[in-house]
Amino acid sequence: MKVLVIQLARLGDIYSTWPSLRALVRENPEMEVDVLVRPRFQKAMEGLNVVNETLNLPMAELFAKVLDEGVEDDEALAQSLEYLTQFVQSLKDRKYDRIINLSFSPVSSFLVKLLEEEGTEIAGYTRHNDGFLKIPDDASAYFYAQMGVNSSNRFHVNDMFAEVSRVQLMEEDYNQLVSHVLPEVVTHLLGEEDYLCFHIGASDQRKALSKLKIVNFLRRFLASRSEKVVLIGADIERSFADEIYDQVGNDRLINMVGKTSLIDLFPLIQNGKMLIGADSAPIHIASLVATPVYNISNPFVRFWETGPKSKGSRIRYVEDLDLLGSDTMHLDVVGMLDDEVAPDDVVVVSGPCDPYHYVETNDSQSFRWSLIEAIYLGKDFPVPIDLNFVEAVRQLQELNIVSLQQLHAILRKEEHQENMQILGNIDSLVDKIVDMVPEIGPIVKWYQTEKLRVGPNAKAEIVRSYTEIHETLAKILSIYIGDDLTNTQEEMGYEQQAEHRK
Amino acid sequence: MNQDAVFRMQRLLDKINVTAKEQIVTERVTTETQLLLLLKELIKEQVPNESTSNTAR
Repeated sequence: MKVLVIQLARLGDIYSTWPSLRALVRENPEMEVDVLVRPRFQKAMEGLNVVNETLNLPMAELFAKVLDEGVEDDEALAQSLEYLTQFVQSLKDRKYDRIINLSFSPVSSFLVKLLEEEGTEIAGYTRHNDGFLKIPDDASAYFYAQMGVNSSNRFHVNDMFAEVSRVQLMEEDYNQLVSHVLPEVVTHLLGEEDYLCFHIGASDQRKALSKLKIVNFLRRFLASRSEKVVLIGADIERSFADEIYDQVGNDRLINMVGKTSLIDLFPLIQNGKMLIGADSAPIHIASLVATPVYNISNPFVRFWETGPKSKGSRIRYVEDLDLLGSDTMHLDVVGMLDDEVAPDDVVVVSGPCDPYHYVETNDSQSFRWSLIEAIYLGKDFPVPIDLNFVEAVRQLQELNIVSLQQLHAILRKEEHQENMQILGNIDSLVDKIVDMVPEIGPIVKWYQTEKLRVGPNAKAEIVRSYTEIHETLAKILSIYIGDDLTNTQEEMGYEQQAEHRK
Repeated sequence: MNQDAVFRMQRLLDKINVTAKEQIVTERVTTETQLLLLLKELIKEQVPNESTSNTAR
């Protein structure tokens, strides 16, 4: 079986895809898996030995034509389209039996649609024949509805990739030796002593620690411990690292920032006692080599989606990085090295295949996650958080009943423009309810996504699918407000219909 | 990316929008339209302030 996995996101997402790729091949040894990535992030595929071929989305070639100043706009477009057509055809010629799209982006969805042949098994976003987004599988629908900024999701992105790929992750999908020998210059600097790695930057400046904090921590740590500290990071972080190195002024501090390749980080992190860092690619590498991470997280990172997976990792979440004292960092890191019990306000990772266990202190967030668990995992629906929520449910149910009435009317009538307009207005009102009472968000997002999943079809079929979704929504809402509203409205509806028949 | 390149991409996006719309109205969504829409999304990723939301329909 030939499979194409599409991962057009960044370094961290590619590393987060590794366990699913390994699991795919472990569960299906005959499977031939190709992976499509962007050339900028191709290096993150180095070291993964289960993949048949890593393919590139030819961005540079494509945009060379788009940006060719010597060519008129129409000609540039025609040339780009021609190039894109050839690229798509080259992928089609590989005749994939299954395409797994782990990118969740418009680009990837159009690409999948173009690659789709009759009988191709598709997981992840694609497009309907009319160009609208198509979400064929439940895992991707969950991703669309409940993951991302301002969401209440608590599933890790690695686990979601596995769900979309339909594999069951095991510890061995994380912890596999990546055979790569460190350059001699690096091993010479490391010597025989124990060391830990510190990634000083992050994928976004808002997630990174300040220079002062790093310097204070390093001075204190190096003065009280015997381990060396190896600074790691990308070339772009080199001057920042040089300043830290100069200010700390300790010969047990080794500055490797900008001097290592991504693949070098595998043995470097693996042989270290631990990694300290914010949200970035080295955290994901540590998860793949079973090195515990001291992860510093803040509201700009959703650690529950992208945090470390390696056993023994600890996550220190702070609302404001400026309020994290270097003394707290020191105690946390020393506690990890000495295997002391973690403080209550630190999340401890028990293993790569285990969910995070932590106490949610935000009641609203906790309630919304419980709602998600109830909708998607069949757990009990949580007790209403307050009367506003119950009122929002009541309002949503009223709109839901009007929607059902409109759908019935559309089915009966030839002309139904007014009914469609009413349904459109209801959609806007539903959004307003969520604006006012965000706790109802998970239910609304579920229902909106399910409606979006209904593809182009005959009117009767679309109405039937929509009706099913609205009826399921009615059942969910009636858990909080009972059936009275639905029954009354149904009776009214029947009376109106009887009146109509007269 | 320099300002000229951004302007060029925005011009191309406008052209794609017009062409895709014409195709959708006259021929419905063909493979060629899907290719145009893919190109449009690729260009949008390069242009500042264009939406590249994962959830854009």
